[in-house]
Amino acid sequence: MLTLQNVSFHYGENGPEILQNIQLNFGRGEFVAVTGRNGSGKTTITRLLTGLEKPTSGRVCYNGQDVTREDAAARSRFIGYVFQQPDRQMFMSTVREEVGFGPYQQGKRGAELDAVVDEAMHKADVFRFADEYPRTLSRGDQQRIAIASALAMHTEYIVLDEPTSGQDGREKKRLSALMSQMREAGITVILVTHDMDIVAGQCTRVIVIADHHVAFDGTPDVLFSEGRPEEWGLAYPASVRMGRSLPGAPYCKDMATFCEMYRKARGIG
Amino acid sequence: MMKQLVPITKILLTGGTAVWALVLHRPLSLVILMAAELLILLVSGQLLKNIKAVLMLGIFAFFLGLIEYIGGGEKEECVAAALRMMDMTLLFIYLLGTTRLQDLTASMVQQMKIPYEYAFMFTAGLRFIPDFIEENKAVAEAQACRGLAMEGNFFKKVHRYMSIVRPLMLRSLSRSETMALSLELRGFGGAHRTFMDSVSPKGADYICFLLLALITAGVIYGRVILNF
Amino acid sequence: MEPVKDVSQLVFTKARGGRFRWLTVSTLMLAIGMILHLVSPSIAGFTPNWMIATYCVAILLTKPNFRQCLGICMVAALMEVFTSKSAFPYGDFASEFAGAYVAGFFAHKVPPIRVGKFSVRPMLCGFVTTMVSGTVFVTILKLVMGIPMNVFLYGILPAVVLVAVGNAIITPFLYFPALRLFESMHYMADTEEKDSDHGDLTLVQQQPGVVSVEHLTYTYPFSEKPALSDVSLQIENNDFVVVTGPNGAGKTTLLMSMIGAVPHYFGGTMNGMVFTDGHATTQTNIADLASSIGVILADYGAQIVTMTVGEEMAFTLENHGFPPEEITKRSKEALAKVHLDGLEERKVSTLSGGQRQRLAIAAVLAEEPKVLVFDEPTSALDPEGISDFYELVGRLNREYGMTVVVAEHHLEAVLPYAKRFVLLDGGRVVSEGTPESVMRAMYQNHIYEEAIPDLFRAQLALEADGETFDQPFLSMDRAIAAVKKNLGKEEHVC
Repeated sequence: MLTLQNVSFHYGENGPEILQNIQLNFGRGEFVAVTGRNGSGKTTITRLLTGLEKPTSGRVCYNGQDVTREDAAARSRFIGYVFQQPDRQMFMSTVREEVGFGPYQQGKRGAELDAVVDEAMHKADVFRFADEYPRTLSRGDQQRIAIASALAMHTEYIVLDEPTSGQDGREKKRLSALMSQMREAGITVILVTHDMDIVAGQCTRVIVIADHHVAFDGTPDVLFSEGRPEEWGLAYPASVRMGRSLPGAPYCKDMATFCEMYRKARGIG
Repeated sequence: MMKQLVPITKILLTGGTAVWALVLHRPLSLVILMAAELLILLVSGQLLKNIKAVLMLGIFAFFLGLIEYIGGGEKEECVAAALRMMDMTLLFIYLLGTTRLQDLTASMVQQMKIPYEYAFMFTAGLRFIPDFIEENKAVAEAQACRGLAMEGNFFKKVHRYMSIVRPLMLRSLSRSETMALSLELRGFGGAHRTFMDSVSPKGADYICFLLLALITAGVIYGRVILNF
Repeated sequence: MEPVKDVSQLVFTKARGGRFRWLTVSTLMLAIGMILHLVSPSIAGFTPNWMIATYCVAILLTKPNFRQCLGICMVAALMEVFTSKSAFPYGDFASEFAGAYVAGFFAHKVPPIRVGKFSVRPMLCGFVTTMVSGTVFVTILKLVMGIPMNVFLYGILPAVVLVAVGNAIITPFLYFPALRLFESMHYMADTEEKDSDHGDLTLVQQQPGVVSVEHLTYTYPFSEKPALSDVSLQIENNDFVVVTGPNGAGKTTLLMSMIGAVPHYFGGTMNGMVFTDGHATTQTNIADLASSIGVILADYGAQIVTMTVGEEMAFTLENHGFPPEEITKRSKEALAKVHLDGLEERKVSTLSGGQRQRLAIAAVLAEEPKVLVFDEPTSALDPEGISDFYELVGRLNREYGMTVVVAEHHLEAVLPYAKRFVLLDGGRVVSEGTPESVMRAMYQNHIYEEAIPDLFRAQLALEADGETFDQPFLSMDRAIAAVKKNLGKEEHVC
């Protein structure tokens, strides 16, 4: 269990308040989306969780232990972070070395290290690039290498910062599938995103940050059928809007569900 | 007024004080020169803004004078040496603080006849520094999240440092391709280039030139004849 | 002179260009050197001299002539002085003056002496250049300050040696990865390609359009497979064309051929011809073509090379020799078109990513081109940024009559504005026409169908079940209207 207790945050001495009194718990095996307008503080929340920023007041606790004082390197034992730009987090000459960087810092060597690295590369489907120079690969492949690098550290929680931005349709589907697999393996996936299609289609829980507070913390269907996402700067996913045009306005979490509902309404298929 | 002089005048002034500092050799004369320079800094509003830099220069000069004294130099010579150091470098603070970068480069090309490519490299290099600082920070964060600790002995620090340097350098080498293509597209390197800002000397500048020439002659005369 | 009849028979070959590579590599390396110097770890106040290390690497990699070496090192000295990292500016100028010649000597006259697998040249270069540069600096200091000889010999010179040893270690560390990168991009290889010259051919555009690509086949140097095969495409005035396809299909190459970078900058072998604004691209240099066709490359940050918005706007026009009044007028107009008016004094480093992109667009607009080309402009933007971007581009197309060509994956964002789609795969044009017809072709032929927006794909899936709709699902409103109409019919029947 990872918690933020009464966390407030602002930059510097007299900076504006970014977050006020945030109370959040993250359990095992969730697929949580953290979303909100630009500048709402959603990325700040993940930076507070990983230790890249320290709260101005409040505590961060892991399994009951207060870890507020620990920096990112110390917290990397239980939480990993995949940044938005792949090329800001690649610094080794081959994919294998890149993925191995984290486990190496954890103290793994030799055969144990190789096993962990191979496993992570297979999971993210980048094994065939093992000896290539990461920068020559496509953006989608690079992003999956970054995810493999985090997976190799076997953390309970992994934060992904807008992994699908700038990716094409094919890559988005692969990344979504990978994230679902991660969740099925018991990892808690915390996703900072603007992509409402993924939120509706796959996430088990959505947290919306607005006006420096947690404006919503619940399931996506409740957010999009009863909540006020436009007020918080969020768009409705296409499938939800289409669902509303059907009789009975069923909640459609993705386009496949919409097509199903449509066929039912038309009595076909 | 001191601010409005064109860059070439300020450069000549700065260079002039270096020449005078080298010519004069009595501590008293060098002190008077230093006082004059501090006055210029004060009048152009650069003294208080850069007081830290001025003090650092002073400490450095003092330290050098001390080394000389310990090494067996004569007291008067050491004091003169330290003062000379100060005198030669103080006005750079004035030059850099009151000159806009684009005016400096225009002056370098139009008056000092330095080819435009080099003036360009200077400003372009400075333009990318903030970007690289950002990226440096980003890579350091990514590494921290993969468990790389900040502390450790010197060799660990160097090793950690090396792994930040490499991606920074490789990324900038790829960017250099885009930049090289972009420069060709934008007609860089042509023979006829205009400059937006005019940096030709005006009335006040010519007066300064005259004063500089007179003072230099005076200083040399003073040194040779009157042993300043 | 007879005009050339069959353009597809024309061949043009060229070695890879890049006359400013030495300059851009050196500029960026020096900027890095500056930062490294600021944050370098140190023992007892001694750190390696990162500026010298980086200019050594730049000179060893790009092998500029001695005059250029001198320029690079003077710039290094200027940067040291300007950022107040120097206590004695005159010493810096003199020491880097000497350093330039030493580094240049190593680049041109010293062969890569090998010990085992590695060349020791970078290490030697780093050591010797630092020794010479450092010695010059402290010698001048000694002369000016009158430092006694014994202090000089036993105190200061050993310090110089220490720093030189530091540089001997870091220079190869920086050099070898850079060399690897350069070699993988074939900058170091020499080719036997002779440069063609089409100067005395009369080339006439066969097809109408402001850009006409005619039977273009192109192969990059050192590549066996052509990047584009027999591509023909016409872009009309005021068109909004989206070029799409999987990675490696040739989108960027096609765009580069329109602006002349293929073949002039990238080299290689080109068959066929491209006409931009009536000019054959093999007969016109890229700076001249740039006055008709402006391009925003994917890495738009690297296109911005000055410190303030105003300077950036003036840069291209100054290069071409425009008078200051004309420059001011065009800058203002261009900035207004992208909604960045009045920001001439702003520093580029204070602009956000979206603003920088718009600045790059404005700088291109200052040349008043007819055609705007964008290479994957939305990779670094969030959804709001993407819609703002296309809203701007759509406005430039509709209100200002500009012709727009975009290479894009994100078809959803561009649907409200695009007039035509072109689908490339494996270097060939697979489909071309209205967005709807091309997307149907993608679906039917299973080419790059993942790029089809989810909404339209849903329509295609339902049509496969036998449904028909009176409007295509190209936007949310149209889709909802079409669905409601179909269901309205249903309710009537029941």
